[in-house]
Amino acid sequence: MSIPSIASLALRSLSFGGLVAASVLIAPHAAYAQAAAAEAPVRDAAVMKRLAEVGAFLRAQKHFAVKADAATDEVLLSGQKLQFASTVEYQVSSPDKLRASLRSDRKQRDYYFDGKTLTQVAPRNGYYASVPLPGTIGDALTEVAQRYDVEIPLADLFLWGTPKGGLDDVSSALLVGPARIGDVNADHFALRQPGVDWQVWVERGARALPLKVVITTTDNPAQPQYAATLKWDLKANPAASAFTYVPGKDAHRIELKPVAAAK
Amino acid sequence: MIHRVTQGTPAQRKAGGFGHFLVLALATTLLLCFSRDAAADKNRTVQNNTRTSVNKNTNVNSNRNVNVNSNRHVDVDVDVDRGFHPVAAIATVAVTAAVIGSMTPSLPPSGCVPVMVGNVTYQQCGPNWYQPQYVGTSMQYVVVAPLR
Repeated sequence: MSIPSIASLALRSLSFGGLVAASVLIAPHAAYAQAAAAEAPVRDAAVMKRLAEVGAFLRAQKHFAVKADAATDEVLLSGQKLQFASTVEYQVSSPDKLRASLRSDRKQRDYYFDGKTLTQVAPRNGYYASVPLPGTIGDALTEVAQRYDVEIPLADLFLWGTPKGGLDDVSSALLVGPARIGDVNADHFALRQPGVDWQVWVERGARALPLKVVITTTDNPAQPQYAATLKWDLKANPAASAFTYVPGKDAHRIELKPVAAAK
Repeated sequence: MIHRVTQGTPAQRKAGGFGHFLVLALATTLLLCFSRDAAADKNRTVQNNTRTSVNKNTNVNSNRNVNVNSNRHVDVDVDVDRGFHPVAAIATVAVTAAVIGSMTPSLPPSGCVPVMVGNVTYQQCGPNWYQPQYVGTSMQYVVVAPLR
């Protein structure tokens, strides 16, 4: 008795499926309209306001340190994705002094920026290169990326809250919902803009700090991601000497090749 | 008698034959390794465009036409120095001829000495001279004409 009833159920669901398929076939325009409505970008004003607060809060910090634990996808030519772990530590004295230390299985780099000169150091082999780059930290990171193809991860931390903050590029902004990063209550936001989808988890309350960032590169079909969890130390007060590189006995100065002129 | 000694005892001759076989096997294995490394090299090449910042100002890869560094080997970024030599990098160097003007991500595993000429750092590796430079965040060694 039970077996035929299951069979009849399956039959009924099949015919129901057929009906749905038929109705979709009959009314394709309605289906399209529905999908288009679902995909229309929503730029939640409350989310954009909170992101502006993040920028303002970051720029209001005179001295701080932040450490990011990150995972970066690398895409092989075959399309296969690999993941590499890394850490990056920043020591900051606003508006124009930065020390950054990148550590990964593949690469170690230290950066010193004292408001006039940016130096890239490979501590394992003692090579360093210095380029003059006057301005704020945000200016220097933008210039060094554009002129020398040196990309320092999470440069956004120094650009949000400035005219180069880039929030105007955001085409879609959603509040995903409440979240917890470690022991801290946060809000999870999802954003889209040309080339990247990104997510940011912002601490609730007055300390408007990004606690986690995930960046998805959308112009690569494999959609590689960079994900970083951030630990903030707003009481850090790095010494002035931390921002100027003093070459050691075994250090060798080399050139940082400028980016070839784009066609 | 002397003749016999140079020829070795039958046991020694047998061992010699086995030695020859070993050398042949080793050579074949090495050849196989190299050809496999060449294939592995292709398999281990990464596209260099994962963004680590949201801001487009700091992401030049996506809007730059000329990109010398768009595809790189997965091990290229290993800093080759102070006894830290990944096997893959050694294989890459072994099959790369030092053509003047060409770039290599790593130096030969041994026999290189840093030499200062004027204010510029070079690495002399036997007959080949290299000028180290940064291309973005990666080390590249440009083969230059011998300076001495």
